[in-house]
Amino acid sequence: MKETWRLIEDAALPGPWNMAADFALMKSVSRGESRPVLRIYRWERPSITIGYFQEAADELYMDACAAQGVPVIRRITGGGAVLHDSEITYSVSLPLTHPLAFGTVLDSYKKLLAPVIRALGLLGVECEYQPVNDLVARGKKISGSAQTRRDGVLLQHGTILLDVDPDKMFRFLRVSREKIEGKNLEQASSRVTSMKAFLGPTVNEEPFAGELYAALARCFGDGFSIRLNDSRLTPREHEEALSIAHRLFENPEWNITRSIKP
Amino acid sequence: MLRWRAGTIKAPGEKLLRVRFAEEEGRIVNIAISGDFFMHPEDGIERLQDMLAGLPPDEKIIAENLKIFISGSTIELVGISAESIARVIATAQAMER
Repeated sequence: MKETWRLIEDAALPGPWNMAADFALMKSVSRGESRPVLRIYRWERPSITIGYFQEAADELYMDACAAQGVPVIRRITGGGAVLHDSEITYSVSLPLTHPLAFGTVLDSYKKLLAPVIRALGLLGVECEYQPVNDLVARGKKISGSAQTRRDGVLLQHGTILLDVDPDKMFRFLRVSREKIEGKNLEQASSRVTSMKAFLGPTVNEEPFAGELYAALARCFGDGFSIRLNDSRLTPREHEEALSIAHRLFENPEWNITRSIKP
Repeated sequence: MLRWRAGTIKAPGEKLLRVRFAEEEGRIVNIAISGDFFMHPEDGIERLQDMLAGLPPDEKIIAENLKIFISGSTIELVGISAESIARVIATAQAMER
């Protein structure tokens, strides 16, 4: 008998809500009220998330974010700053007692990214895992993920770039001198790629996004020999996500000044 | 007198790591570590910062203390190391404040 997970396929939603929904699902799994969950979602408008350990002012041009109305949200996961624009995002919440969470953090990245790699391959983009947390296609980053483990639960979420506009990205994201190791901005931006770069600019994003949702669900199901049941947030999870969004991801004291705890 | 110092490092194969700290009479009195690394559990960062307070910003001393502290804790570092934290602290430059 196959193990059953929940599959939540969401539309494009506000950034704070996306982060709050992932956190609420994590809490639900922690309380033993939910099976493992695969959630797939998008962003209703360009939004930035920064890693748990990052300082917004160090990583972003805050004036540009404010002027363009781009929300800045600090994640509960580590990792770097991301402009979520034309992308598909996935999240997995599962108990630490699950075999996929066994071993080191890198072991679990590798295991959880295997179906993502297969899904991209199914759609014609060959890529591979590059530790710590990236997928690269022809040497360029096409997907980045981040993981946290708390209260007995592993949460991993990550982006898959459908399209990328480096000029736009670097209007908001600062590139530190140390990070590009003496390379210029042009070279820094050439280290990022997208599905469109492989499939051609004529790919129509909307149907393609749907195909990627389906490919992800199929590859997680086949790859882990699990059954995925269509699901949505329960009323309790929904209520909790609302409260988390209000307390953390819509709150500058969490996002910017880091003066409160999760 | 408090002296503020800051530094950034990206060791090969690791993530970006920044420190800002105040030094008084050769000791770290207040330190903030940030960057795009991972640490599990995340609240380990406060414990790690607290542990560093009182130590001199000396690469060898910091690295040794960090290794002992981390091995005796449940903290797992991913994309940073005791060595790079020690290095960035020791090489941090004076900053305007």
